[in-house]
Amino acid sequence: MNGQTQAVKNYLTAFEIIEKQNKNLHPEREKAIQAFAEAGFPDKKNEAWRFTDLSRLLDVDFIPGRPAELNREIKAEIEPYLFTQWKGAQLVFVDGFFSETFSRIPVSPEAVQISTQLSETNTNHTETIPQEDLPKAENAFTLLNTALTRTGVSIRIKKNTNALPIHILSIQTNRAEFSFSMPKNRIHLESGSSLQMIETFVATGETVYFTNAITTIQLDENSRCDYYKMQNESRKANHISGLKAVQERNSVFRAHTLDFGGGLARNNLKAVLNGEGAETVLNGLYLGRGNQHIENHTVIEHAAAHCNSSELFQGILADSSRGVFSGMIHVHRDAQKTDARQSNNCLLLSEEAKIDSKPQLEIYADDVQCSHGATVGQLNEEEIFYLRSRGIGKETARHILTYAFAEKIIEHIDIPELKERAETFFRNKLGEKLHLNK
Amino acid sequence: MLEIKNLQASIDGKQILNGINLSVGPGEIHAIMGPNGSGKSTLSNVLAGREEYVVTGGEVCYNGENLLELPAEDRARRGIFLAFQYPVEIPGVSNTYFLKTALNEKRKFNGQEEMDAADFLALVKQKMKVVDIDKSLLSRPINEGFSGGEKKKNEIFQMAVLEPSLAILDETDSGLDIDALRVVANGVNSLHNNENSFLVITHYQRLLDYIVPDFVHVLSKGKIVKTGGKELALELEEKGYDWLT
Ligand SMILES: Nc1ncnc2c1ncn2[C@@H]1O[C@H](COP(=O)(O)OP(=O)(O)O)[C@@H](O)[C@H]1O
Ligand SMILES: [Mg+2]
Repeated sequence: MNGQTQAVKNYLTAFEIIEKQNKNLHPEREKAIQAFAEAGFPDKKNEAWRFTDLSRLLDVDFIPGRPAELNREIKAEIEPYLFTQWKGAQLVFVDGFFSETFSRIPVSPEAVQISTQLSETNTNHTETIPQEDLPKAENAFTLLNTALTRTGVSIRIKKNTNALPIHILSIQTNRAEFSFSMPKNRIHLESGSSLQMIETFVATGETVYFTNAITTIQLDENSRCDYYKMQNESRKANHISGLKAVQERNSVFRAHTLDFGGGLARNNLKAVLNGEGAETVLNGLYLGRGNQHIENHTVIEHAAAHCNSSELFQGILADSSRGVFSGMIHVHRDAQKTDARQSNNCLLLSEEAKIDSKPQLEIYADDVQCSHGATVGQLNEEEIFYLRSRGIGKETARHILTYAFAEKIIEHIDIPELKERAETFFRNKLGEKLHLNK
Repeated sequence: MLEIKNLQASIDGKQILNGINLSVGPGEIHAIMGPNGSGKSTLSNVLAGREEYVVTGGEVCYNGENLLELPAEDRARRGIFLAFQYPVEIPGVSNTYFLKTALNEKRKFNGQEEMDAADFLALVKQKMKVVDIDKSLLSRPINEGFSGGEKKKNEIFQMAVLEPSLAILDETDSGLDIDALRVVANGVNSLHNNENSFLVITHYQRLLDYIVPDFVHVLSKGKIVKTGGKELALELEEKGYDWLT
């Protein structure tokens, strides 16, 4: 059993290794690793991490990954995950490293700039580490990401441009057991521009590894971003992700997170509404099986007036899986006419499954509409019987009703390829022999 | 085809059916009438296989098989259909998807090939005419936001598509206006032939103006207390149930 001290030491060593391998490292990294060394990993005394059992993560000395050798076997494993009819850019990372072989970047107009310069294949580029993370580092994982990141994507969509959709696909192969990868993505939508983007995390096998991903999205005035994150990591993997959207006037940010994999999966999602008339949607679907632990922590900062936010999380927990939802809505004093809604619904498919749901409202403006609600329930026996009375088997009936619950999120996915894949992941996972109540 | 012998059943420890005997032959229409709380819905649910109802005695034989041993879905696949008194609303599951799944489960059981989307749609179109159900209801989630009458029509529509060999209609006529009543009766009559049978549970004799039963049974306190021909329904309409109990 590793303790906190050993785990921290492990990442300090990792930093030294990366430092030796790469010259010209950004000075921010040094600051970040020092801050991390001081802060350490959060423990359960920390309110925001009260339900998070990090032992699976701290117990293993994860090491920096290495680029995979792309032999025929690996290629065959990776190919099914690519979107074949994809019009826009498809940026593929294998074991945490950018893969030119699999990536497709269509010749894009000047107005769409995509770069993968944080990747090790491009170490001679001047490094750019996003500065905005550091001063207000949300937690140790953000610091760790800044210190140790070697991969990532920077995207800039110029003024009034409707970009083609972008798919960032991260695949972990079996060869990368016990390694970590810490991608850092930065997206900037200039005023009036729009972008649909997907981040997918998948694994070709059931190995132990650690993903610590950060994505920051800057939305200038009147821009719109439809962001999807879907992870179907190995059931033994640790997946920690941070998403932060900063929104200016009249911008629209719609995010959907879909969590199927991970032994420990935690999403920290934050939207900052800085300009009037901005709109945020944070939706999420999670399906826990076995002893998976899946968490979503959302923070919405209503810092300007006349903004809307809405959150809908649908969770399904089977076997002895566990879910956590915490949703903070912070309405600043000047954010009058805020309209903020939040709801988290959870379906428990077994008696051993468990959800902790914690809404937090901090409202300092007086003319606002805020609502939150949480429901926890089981499948409805009367509905099951209705389906069975028409000849549908018990197990199928349960699946149909469970799927209907998930559909409330899946139906909002506007990208057909992603929707189909999400359905497949969901149905496959649900179809594994369920240890159900009845 | 259906033999019920001395059937007794309880729910939540409360005895409801106290020894029912009933024999339904192929092609027969039986009406069951009786006051509220006499056990009509209990009988329907026991036959359909609802597990909350505990059979405490007796037997039910369906086409030579012990019906009570079969789970609900297996009964349905063998041709038993219950039109519910209070059909449940199921948000998120479309009517059409549900019905196609159900039909194909039944076809698989009978060794038939599954029906593809095009053939299913053609079948639905044909059956929609029989039941006079609005197309828009079919793409909506099962019974969600349907009026009382629409829910009942939907039950009859499902019956028309699934073509059961024994259909149990639990007060399908309650709360329907005369037009809807005709639709229900029309559904039954167009499905009726000399092989499939109906158990029509009703409160009112007016349904029996449209669906002509071969037998009328009176259920009271969980027992059949009188059996007669269709004229018994008229007599009940006139005199009520009190003279029988
Ligand atoms: N879940 C239940 N628990 C206890 N008693 C019930 C339950 N469901 C029905 N009953 C009782 O069983 C009796 C018969 O009900 P039911 O079969 O619905 O009658 P009917 O359909 O003839 O009106 C009634 O007295 C009713 O109150
Ligand atoms: Mg009844």
